[in-house]
Amino acid sequence: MSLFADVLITSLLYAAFFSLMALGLNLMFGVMRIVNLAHGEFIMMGSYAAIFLYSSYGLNPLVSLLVIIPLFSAVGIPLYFLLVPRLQRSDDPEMNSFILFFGLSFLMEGIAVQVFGNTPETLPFSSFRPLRMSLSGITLPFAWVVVALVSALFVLLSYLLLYRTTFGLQTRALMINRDEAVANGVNVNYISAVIFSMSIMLAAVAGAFSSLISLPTTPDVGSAFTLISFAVIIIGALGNPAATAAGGVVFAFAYGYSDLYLPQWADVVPFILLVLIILARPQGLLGRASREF
Amino acid sequence: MNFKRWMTAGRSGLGKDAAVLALPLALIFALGPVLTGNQSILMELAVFIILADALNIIYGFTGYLPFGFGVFFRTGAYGTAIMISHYNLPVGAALTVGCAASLLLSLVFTPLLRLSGPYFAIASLAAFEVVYLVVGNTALTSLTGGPYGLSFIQAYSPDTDYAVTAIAAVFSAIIVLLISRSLYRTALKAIKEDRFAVELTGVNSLLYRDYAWFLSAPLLIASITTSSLLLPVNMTNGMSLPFERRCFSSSMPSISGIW
Repeated sequence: MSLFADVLITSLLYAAFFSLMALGLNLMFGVMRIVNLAHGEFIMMGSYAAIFLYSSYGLNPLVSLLVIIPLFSAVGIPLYFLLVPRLQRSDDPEMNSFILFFGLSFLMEGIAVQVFGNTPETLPFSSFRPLRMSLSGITLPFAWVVVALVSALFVLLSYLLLYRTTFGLQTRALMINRDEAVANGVNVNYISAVIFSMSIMLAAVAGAFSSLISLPTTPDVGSAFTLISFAVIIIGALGNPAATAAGGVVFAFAYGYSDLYLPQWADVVPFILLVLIILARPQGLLGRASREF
Repeated sequence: MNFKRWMTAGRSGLGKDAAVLALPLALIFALGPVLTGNQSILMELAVFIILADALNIIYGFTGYLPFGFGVFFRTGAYGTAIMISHYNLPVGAALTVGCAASLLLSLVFTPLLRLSGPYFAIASLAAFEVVYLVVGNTALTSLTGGPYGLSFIQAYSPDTDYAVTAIAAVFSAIIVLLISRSLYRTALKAIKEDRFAVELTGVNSLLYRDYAWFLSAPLLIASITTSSLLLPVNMTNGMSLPFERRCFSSSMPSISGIW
């Protein structure tokens, strides 16, 4: 099959993963107007958790989600009450959140260096069997397909939560107009705490598979994941979780095809695209125009 | 914009304040190496004073948080390094070229100032990441040394370097003091609080932010006098997020937009 079609399929797999990776970040910004610059570090921690569970207990990454999901969800709640209420009372919560979570990312990276060391670690492809599979005439690592399917599942579940439940209705109300939502009796703290926790959990789930499909896990890999996540949500629409999938698709295709035609500049092209999009259309491809840009 | 009026209004007591600020700094830098025997720590102090002042201008006064601003720092360093390594220019001339390169980069990124808040921060982070990836690309190894960087230790002169950096640190502190006492700072504060209201009065807020942007870039350039001559110029010690974090952690306590 042609290289062009090969890249099309692998880009679709990457798109699903990038969408999951960025979804939590967009949720957090949409509800709380907080920019979590430590998002990549939570992905990194999720990856280390999966690697630890695999190397110590032989747990397949899918099975390790049974541990990772409740663990990181539980971490999110106290972290929310520790950081966010004070942040929301500050003069400029948006910009102060940059600095606060910037510092948190330092802290998490330092902890990771102390606990896990600096040696790059990955999960082996053999954690999923068979090793390879054929999809439309292309041979791919089976792990990639599993990662893409799990990512798509979590994105779909998040979509269903946001658009098919009362909780999701209240969450979207908060995203659209916080003051009116509060005036209508929406419990801001409860919604915000759950979304914060969910955001961290989604990051950790993405992290559990990141070493299989993306970069090897090191303590400083978080910054790369943060950048990619930002690129995806800005391209889609900041504050619109549903648009994260669109951003993931555009970013993945930009990266995939630039890797095919301009291999030496593949890393640069998606970020150039991001800068051009944010200058031409700061609200993102699927966002609404606003004077606040 | 009447620069003379803007920069000379509200000058009462400015001389005394500048002396109170500059003299202790100058004494620390002059006597520090003699008393402590450690010049490199003081050099790093001077560099971070300059970085903090530069960040104070662009973030403290305007509210624009440029993540990735360290790329100006290292663009100047690379410009200097390339001129010394490849063209054998004397250090002074090479530094001038480095300064010009950094200023040119700030001009290229001026359109980003149309954005505000987190959009500007993220766009600046992405734009600077582009520069980082381009400079460190293996395709440019012959020019920039690619991922390995350039070293020009042959241009290193510890005492001269220290003196120039210390003077630059004192100078940058005075510049920020001057701005903080000017009407320009009042305008920037108004823009920071509500740029739409300011624009309704006929003020071009984008232009005023541009001035702050171009003012901060030379200060960043001043800080390259040390690190570019002390350390190998490469991505990992200048154009990367970990270096950015060091700059911010050292600079944030001093950034307030006031003096």
